[in-house]
Amino acid sequence: MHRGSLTPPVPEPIKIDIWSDIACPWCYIGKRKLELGMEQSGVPVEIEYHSFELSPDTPVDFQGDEFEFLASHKGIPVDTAKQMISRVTDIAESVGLHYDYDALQHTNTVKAHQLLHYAKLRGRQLEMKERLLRAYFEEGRHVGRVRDLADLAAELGFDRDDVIRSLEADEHLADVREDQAVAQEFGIQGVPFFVFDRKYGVSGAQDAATFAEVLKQVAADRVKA
Amino acid sequence: MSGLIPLGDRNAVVCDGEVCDIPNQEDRSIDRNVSLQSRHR
Repeated sequence: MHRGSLTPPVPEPIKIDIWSDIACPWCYIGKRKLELGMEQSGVPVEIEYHSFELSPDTPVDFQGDEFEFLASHKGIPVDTAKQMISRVTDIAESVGLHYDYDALQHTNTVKAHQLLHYAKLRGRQLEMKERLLRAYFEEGRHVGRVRDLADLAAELGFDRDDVIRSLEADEHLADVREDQAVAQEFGIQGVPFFVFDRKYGVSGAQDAATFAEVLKQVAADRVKA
Repeated sequence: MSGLIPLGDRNAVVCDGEVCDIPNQEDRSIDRNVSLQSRHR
């Protein structure tokens, strides 16, 4: 008997395309919740991150802290902004993330997005994404300047000089813009945004159970198709 | 979202604009847990 005939077929992983930014507290929280949902569902997945800039006009060397930034943009008192940030910090803690808004350095993220494309080309995008989010929200590291980004990439084993070359040349700027154009085609206005199997759209930092339910639903739909 | 079938909780929080809105938890109580099945029908 052919031994292979007794082995159940390995299901094709479900593709999850995720649009997100680095400077996006709900994107990191949503990432953790998706990871929990993936564990709960047991459904195999393949993840690809796509670029979305929430604040493309922010200068790389933004002056001021996150509390003042939020207060001025929302037209609210700084104390109210602090309360809001305190709430999101608590929610982050509930999924094991330790946001440090006192240390956080608000900045422009277009170079960080280019670095994610650089890493994707080398099969390491997920590691780079996690490293950038942790650096920004938990470690107060700067994720807007080329040399700071190169340091983070080098920590993962990338060639620091080559990263600097790529970022200074805007080697992957066109890839960032293409991601943004696709987001516009899908009508994506907020992030995180998740597209399952290029067919189903899920917006926001959903609960892990919701992600698990979505994954099971998408897997079941594949069987029916 | 155009061309995609929406799934999940419609009120899950997103960042959409220059700042990420951080709503009160109470604000999210309405219309939560929209049935996945009913949305998919």
